[in-house]
Amino acid sequence: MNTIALVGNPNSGKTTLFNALTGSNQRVGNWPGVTVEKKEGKIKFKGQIYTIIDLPGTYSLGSFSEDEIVARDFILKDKPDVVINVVDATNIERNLYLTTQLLEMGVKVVVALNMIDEAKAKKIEIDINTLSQKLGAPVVPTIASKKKGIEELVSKAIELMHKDVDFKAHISYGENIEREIENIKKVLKDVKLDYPTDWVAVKALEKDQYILKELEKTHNSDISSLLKNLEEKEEDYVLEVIDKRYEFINRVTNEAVKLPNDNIETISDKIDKFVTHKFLGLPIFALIMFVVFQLTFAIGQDFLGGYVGTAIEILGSAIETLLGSLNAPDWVISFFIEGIIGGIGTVLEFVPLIVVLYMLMGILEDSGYMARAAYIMDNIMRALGLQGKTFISMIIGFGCNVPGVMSTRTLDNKKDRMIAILINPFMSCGARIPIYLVFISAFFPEHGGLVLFSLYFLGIFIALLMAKIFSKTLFKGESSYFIMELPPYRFPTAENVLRNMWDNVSEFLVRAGTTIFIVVAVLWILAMLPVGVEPYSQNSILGRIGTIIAPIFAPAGYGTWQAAVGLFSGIAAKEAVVAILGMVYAGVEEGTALVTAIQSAFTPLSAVSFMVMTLLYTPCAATLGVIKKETGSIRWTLFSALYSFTIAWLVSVLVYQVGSAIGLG
Amino acid sequence: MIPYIIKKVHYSYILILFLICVNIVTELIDTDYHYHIREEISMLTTSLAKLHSGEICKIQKINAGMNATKRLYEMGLNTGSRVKVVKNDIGPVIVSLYGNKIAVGRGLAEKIIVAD
Repeated sequence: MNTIALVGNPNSGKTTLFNALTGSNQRVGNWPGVTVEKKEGKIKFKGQIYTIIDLPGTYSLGSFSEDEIVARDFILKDKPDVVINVVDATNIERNLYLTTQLLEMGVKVVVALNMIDEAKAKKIEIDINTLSQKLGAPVVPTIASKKKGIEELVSKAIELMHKDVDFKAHISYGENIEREIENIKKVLKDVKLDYPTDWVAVKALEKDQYILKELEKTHNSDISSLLKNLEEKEEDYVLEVIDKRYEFINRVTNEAVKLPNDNIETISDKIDKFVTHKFLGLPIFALIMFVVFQLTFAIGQDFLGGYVGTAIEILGSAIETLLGSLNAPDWVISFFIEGIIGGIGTVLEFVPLIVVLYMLMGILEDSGYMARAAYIMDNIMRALGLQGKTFISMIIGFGCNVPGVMSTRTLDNKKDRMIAILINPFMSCGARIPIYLVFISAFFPEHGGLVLFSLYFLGIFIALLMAKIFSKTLFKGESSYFIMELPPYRFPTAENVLRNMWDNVSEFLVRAGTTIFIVVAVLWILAMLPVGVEPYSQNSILGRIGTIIAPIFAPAGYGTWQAAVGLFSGIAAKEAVVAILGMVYAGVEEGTALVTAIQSAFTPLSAVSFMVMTLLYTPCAATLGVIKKETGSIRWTLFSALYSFTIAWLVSVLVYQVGSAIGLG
Repeated sequence: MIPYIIKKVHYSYILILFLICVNIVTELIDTDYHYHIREEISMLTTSLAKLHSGEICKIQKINAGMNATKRLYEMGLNTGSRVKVVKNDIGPVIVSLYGNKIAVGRGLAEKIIVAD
């Protein structure tokens, strides 16, 4: 008796409310579909601990997208003791649609009427008591962003949890539908189902694909004939059921809600005039992205990056002195200095950069701009056989491909989703930036921003090109329709932005401390063996592996065993590439020595070719893992690993060969 | 930091020029755009895609596939609901439903039959 589920539309402030309730780490976004998995938090109320589950934001509890199924299965199968339904007060009619569905399910619902302050500003008058009475559920006004009404919400929810009441909405579906429902219920009476019978009956009339399939699985002859019957029926109840729900909502809102007559032009509308403008929209979007990357580079790298580098150097020499004074054997010192400080340290130097990138991305997400970006890109994406929302998953991929791939869950069409997953790794993630930076400082210190931006652009270009090819070959068929809410702009709260940033950065740090640590340690051992060999030389096991792979990369201009080893380690984690390059080229952890070594080992042209390779080749193990999880197929995962390697190799060779031919080499 | 950004900003001009080109090309592809020259016919029923910014209409019928129709319904764009067209030039049509904006893809908007 202590689980509370949070359910609500995207943009209803559900995640902000979850944060206000639990204070836990949680990603927040002002565009549909940020919460891709259910998140858990704990609260204490009158000495008792309660678990709060934040379910994905959905408009409905049908079976269109993964998110809807996750949300409704949790409610029906895991049976939370009470459901808090977050309703956006400024958009009450639409939000109550979900409420109606919850009430139909017969679960205990408390309505959190959120953003009540914004509704007041918009002159929307809501009579809380009437609303509560008409819905048959308690309603608590809240302002999640200001942590108002939270206490009352919790106490109402817990009070309801312990109350023995029969929660059931009285939605009159009209004579015809109700007769059908009774008929279906008769058939279902003797069948054991995971879901309540009444609800299944309505869903069957709605032709919910998931429920129809579940019913088929029972292999009951009565049910089969019922399903056949439903299919052959001329009259369609699907939309009528929805209409009846809206009728119910209208009866509620007619008495409880007063909407203003005239729509006043809000600040959001004014901003949108520019941001979604026919000609200005795209350049503004490009400019925003450009500024994001320039700021990331300027603050994260040039300004803060140096301090971290210095701090790590000081730490390194301190440990060296300490170990020396303890008379530690040479190999121990080498392991700590070259392996750990050298490996992890190189990675840590880029933390400021990632911090800034995630903060800026968080601001874009939280402000509501992302939905506009999807809108602006829809036209171009459609010409490529995709839709605008795909572009959002691509932008998220700039941070990290793992959430990028996961965010494709908001696409309801299988074709769109598969393509979006397969092209996401071409989006240059934060972990790849360190690799570029080393090569940029070696060869193009004056044009860092341009090189970085061109690489990102190439990534997008290849991704879109592959998308076009996929939609013509592997995944034919209609791209899904584009329907997207454009939420009002909201000022991003520092709390949400920092939380979002910290979630990502802490994950990066954890990875630096675990996966990358293991990779670096294993590679260090490989570089030391066989015993007696010169460490990090071509004769070590690591060197030999590199020597075997190296010829593959010769046509691309970097057929050295060191480069091969670097790329090889990047399949485990992209963050490891720089660390390994540092070890094999210079045997040092210092940035400048590595840069000098790179300058002598590469030419500007082969450096570009190598950067292109690192941009496009096989995604890291974590990304491959999430691709496996989201596609549910090992074959697609292997396909993703191999085709991206092939593309990367081809483009990289092309760059080098064409460059050499026109005399850039 | 600020001078650094200013120094780099000239790259953005190249990019903006490029994007304007892309924009013009997509506009040319978008043949539907040429229909926007208003035909002076009194509008009884027409598709949402043919309306102009600022016009208010009532949704009569949605001729799209079941999934799309259902999703529109669930977003509040069901038959009988009154919407205001906020923007309709290229790309998706933006409509406002009690001040809440929803972007609907052009192809889908063509299948939404509306009346004055």
